[in-house]
Amino acid sequence: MKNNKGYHIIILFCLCFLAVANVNAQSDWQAPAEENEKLSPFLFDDDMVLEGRIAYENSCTSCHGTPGQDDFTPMSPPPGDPAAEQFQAQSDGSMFYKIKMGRGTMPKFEDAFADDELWNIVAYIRSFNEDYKQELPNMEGVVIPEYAMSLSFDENVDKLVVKVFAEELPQPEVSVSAYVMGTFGKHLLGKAQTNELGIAYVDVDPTLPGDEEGKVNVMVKATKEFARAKVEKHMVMAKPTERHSAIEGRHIWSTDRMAPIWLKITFFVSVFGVWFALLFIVFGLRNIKKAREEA
Amino acid sequence: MKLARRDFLKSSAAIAAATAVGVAVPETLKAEAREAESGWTWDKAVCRFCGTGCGIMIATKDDKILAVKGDPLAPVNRGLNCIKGYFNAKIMYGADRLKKPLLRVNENGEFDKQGKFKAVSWQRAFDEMEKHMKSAMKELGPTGIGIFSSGQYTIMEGYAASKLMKAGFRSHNIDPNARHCMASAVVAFIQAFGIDEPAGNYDDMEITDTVVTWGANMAEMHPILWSRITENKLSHPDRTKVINLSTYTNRTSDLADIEIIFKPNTDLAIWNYIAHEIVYNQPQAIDWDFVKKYTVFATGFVDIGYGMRTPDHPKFTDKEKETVKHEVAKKLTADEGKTLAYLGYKEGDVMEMKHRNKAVNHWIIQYEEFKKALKPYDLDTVAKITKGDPEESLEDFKKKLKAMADLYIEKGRKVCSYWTMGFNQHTRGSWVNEQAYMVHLLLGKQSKPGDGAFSLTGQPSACGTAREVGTFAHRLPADMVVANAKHREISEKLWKVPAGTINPKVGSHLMKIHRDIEDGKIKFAWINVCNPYMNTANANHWIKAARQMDNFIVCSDAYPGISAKVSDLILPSAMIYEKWGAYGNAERRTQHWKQQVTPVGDAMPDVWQFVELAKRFKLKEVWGAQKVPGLKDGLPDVLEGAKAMGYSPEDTLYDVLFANDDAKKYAWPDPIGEGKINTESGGDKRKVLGSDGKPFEGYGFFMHKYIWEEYRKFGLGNGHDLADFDTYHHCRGLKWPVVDGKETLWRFNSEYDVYAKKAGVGPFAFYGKALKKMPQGSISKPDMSKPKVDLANKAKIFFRPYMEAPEVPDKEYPYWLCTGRVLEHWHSGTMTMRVPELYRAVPEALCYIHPKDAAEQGFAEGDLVWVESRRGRIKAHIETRGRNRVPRGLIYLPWFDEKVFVNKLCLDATCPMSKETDFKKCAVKLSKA
Repeated sequence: MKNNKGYHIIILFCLCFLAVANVNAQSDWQAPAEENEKLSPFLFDDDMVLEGRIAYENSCTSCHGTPGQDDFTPMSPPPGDPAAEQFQAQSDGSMFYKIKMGRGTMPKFEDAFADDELWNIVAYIRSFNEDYKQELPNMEGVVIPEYAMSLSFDENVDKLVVKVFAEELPQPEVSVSAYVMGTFGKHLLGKAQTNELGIAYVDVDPTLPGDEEGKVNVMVKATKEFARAKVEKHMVMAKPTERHSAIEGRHIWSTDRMAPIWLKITFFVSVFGVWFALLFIVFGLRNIKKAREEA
Repeated sequence: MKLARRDFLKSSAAIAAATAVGVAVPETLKAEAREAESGWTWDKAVCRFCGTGCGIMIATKDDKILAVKGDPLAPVNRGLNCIKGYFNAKIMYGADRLKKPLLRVNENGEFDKQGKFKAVSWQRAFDEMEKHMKSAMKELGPTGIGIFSSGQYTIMEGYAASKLMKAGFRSHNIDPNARHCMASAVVAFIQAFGIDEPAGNYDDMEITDTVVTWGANMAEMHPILWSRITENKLSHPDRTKVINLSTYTNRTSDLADIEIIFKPNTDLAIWNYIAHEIVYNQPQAIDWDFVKKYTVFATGFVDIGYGMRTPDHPKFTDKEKETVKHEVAKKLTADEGKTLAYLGYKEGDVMEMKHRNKAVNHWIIQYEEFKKALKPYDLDTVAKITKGDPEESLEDFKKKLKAMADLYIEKGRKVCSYWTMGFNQHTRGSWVNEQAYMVHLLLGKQSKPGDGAFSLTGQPSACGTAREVGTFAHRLPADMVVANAKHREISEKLWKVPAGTINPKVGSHLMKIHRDIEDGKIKFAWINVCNPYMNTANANHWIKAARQMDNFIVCSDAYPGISAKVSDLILPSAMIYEKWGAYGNAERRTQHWKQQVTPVGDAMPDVWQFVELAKRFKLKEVWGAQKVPGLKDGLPDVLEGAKAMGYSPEDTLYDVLFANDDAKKYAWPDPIGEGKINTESGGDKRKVLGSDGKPFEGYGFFMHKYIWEEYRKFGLGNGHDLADFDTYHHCRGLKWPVVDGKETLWRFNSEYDVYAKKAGVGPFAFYGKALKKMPQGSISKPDMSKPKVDLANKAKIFFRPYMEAPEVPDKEYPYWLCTGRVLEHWHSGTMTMRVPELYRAVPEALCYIHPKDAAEQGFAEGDLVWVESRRGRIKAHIETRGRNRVPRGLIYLPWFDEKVFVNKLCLDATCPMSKETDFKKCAVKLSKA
């Protein structure tokens, strides 16, 4: 009994300590000043929110729960609900920095998401704050180029070739990220920067499975400062998937490749042979039985 | 005396080896050998492989080759063979030897480009060829067809193919794989001397005091010649010096006194350094009597591009364009700024390639200008440009360069320079060949016993067939060219075809045949004795064009190599000892052999294939008026002329070109062929169903002798004299020109060469006739207002500057890739990879890399890595030790192995003059596979 009581005290103490530590942990985590002031170059629109939601549900829900529901996983430190006051009080830049760089149990998403995708998540989180008004950078005198992209596949060197143009001029130093779109989300192929000819090359694993013709759905995003563009294409880039019949091989029945004649004959001869032998025995037994009855 | 099979072989092999090295053999062993060899018939023949031209002895029994040994009487190899040579017999009996024609067909047996190969009759094979050839010619004219020919054709095959194509089909789209091998050497021979092929011979290797190898790993690629050089070196270790210049350390370095590892392409600067040393620091070394009497100075344009297509070609990928853009303009580097300063260029200037179509033009300059252009090539500058091993100190490197120059210059010291593919496969290959003659001619060390620059050939008959017969897009036999009306006239007369038959427009060279197929300009191509889909750089392009476009590719081969697999129709060819033939080696030696055995399966000789195809074409189909792209009025109708010569339009090309009255004068059987088979002339025991579906019984006349005797008429009296057919069967080859039954040892030297003596201009005469009326000019351009100079009996000393390769390593692709061969395998490995002993010796092409580079990349010895260029990527295992030790920043990958398809990586840039591809330089990156 005494032991049990001591046990309770220890747990209680730990919880209290954790609570304190957590509060500290949350308020402790400050993004560097310049990151704090960073503003999204994109206007948070429904499109961004939707994309952000998909990314959030894939990568964040498991710890942070559904925003506004307070159903985050009890962890230490607690991840918290992004719709909560404590989160929303931060600047956009701070949120962006924390998702990107991570700390402790909060993973670093720098490698998983491109900058624009991180902003999508911020946009999604902001959509739960009715009072939020997006602060936009000073755009005076800034011309945002409108990118046109073309995708092709260089099968000699297994590379996705992304050309970024604006008003027919090649755009250098544009960050490009390429994804293969699957049924349940997208797979990052790679990221690259365009060269002085406005071309970025992304390595493609030649064993990537495609459809019967070797086609896959490719999505490529290009971003540079305020400019961004997205293009999707169904293109030949992967290994064709050969659909095999589930009952492939040699068959006596079915419409698949037929067995050779000698096999069929052997098969039927042996099957009928066995049946004949069985019947012969059955008849023999019956005859024996009959003979006994007669006797 | 009873002997087990193994003892049989042992004793006969021991005798052979002992005879070769001149050891006395006990009588008992000799007796054993005699019993072991009872029933064997020995006959002389020539090795199938490289350009050395070793003599071999072949033993046959029951129509099968049983043994091969070096021919002790052969002056080239004196009884020795290299590892490949000893396996000449085994190449013929590989398990997957092609025995029946194979056609791609669909399920109904009709031709289908996407179909699978199925065995068909010879008749069906010729039906398909005829159909596709005629449709290509109908659509595109005579230039719609092409032949990938070979430096491995026998002379008779090359002549038959060339005659059929040039005189019959009126197309010059026939070009040999020798284009990849010798073309740069040829341009330099013709430009410097006015006549093709070397002045010296192999005896120089024993006579000389100094052997300098430039981009020639002779220890592996010409092992028999290297053994002769080794003998010289070991017999006179103090006198004889050996210098090996290479871009990596190889087996040739093992014997060398000095090894110079230079940066790829900088051999151009090294030659100019030697010339600079002569002209500026040791002018007393110039043999002025010789130079003034027998030479002139010359130069040409430098803005000539790199033999690639221009970057606007639609089939280029963006990656490729990063390099091909240099074809039209190139920003000059710091080194080029220095070496091209004589033309007013400086670092950072953009050189527009304005003379891409005038690359071969050249003109006469004065010595003072020649000297001025050499000014920048002092020791300090050149050492900095050329040092190839980053780990070597500049001072050591400079000492070696100076020591080499001194050996060249030393009065009274005999010097021989040897080179092969390092020079020839070079975007400035013709230049670097000419630079070798520049130094030798300045010093008067040329065309003398033990003195001279000598181009070694790669293929067994690159000289004999490809060059002498002229199976090139621009050539006719005996150094004549198609663009010269007089040469065409001579050829038409000798071939007995009407005037105007031969197309005056030069055909497509090998690289261009591939490009034409990709551009849809050639729709029928025939591959003979070569493997163009494996041996051509930038292979992805050509394979795609052949497999995916509307065309018909035929491949005559003995084994299913890459080219056969790419083709639509495969014809099984008889191999070397299954037919009569002749090869010409690098020292102008022509050697004949007789057919030893019946071909396997239904395989037939290539001559038979050409002749049978000729039966399918009537004169009226080919000799009427023809359109030719780029030729304004096309080709004239020569049928009237043909009638005047007694031909009927219904006659076939077979009747006119091969089975004419002249041919029938050479009867078969002939005393020279007593006891021998001759499949073409007399048929053979197989009675193969021929192109008409009937058993083939032979043509009834001595086809090979007829071809030989007609062919040699081209050279008689022109410095290309060959002996008659029978003579060659009584000796171990003769070096042409053969005048009054005597061969010529050193050409252009009046003491040895009757043609030089006849010229009557003293001890030397460079009597070659080509390009001997030249304009004059300044160092930068010709001056057409000045009269042309007559250069009869003179050679040209060219000034050629240093320029960089079009693709050099950079941040993204940081390594040089150099390709080449190995001792154990021949070219693309189709034959030698089928010999178990050779396959086991080197089963796979390895990627040689410096151990520090491997460590830096995180590779362990033997790792499988991706090697990637802008044009393709392949996997190879790495090797950091072994026979090739590369400097940092360079990898070496041999090309014999079709599993490691290195030509997918190589750049198809060529010397703009010779159109020979540079297989030695491109930029690659490496990553773990």
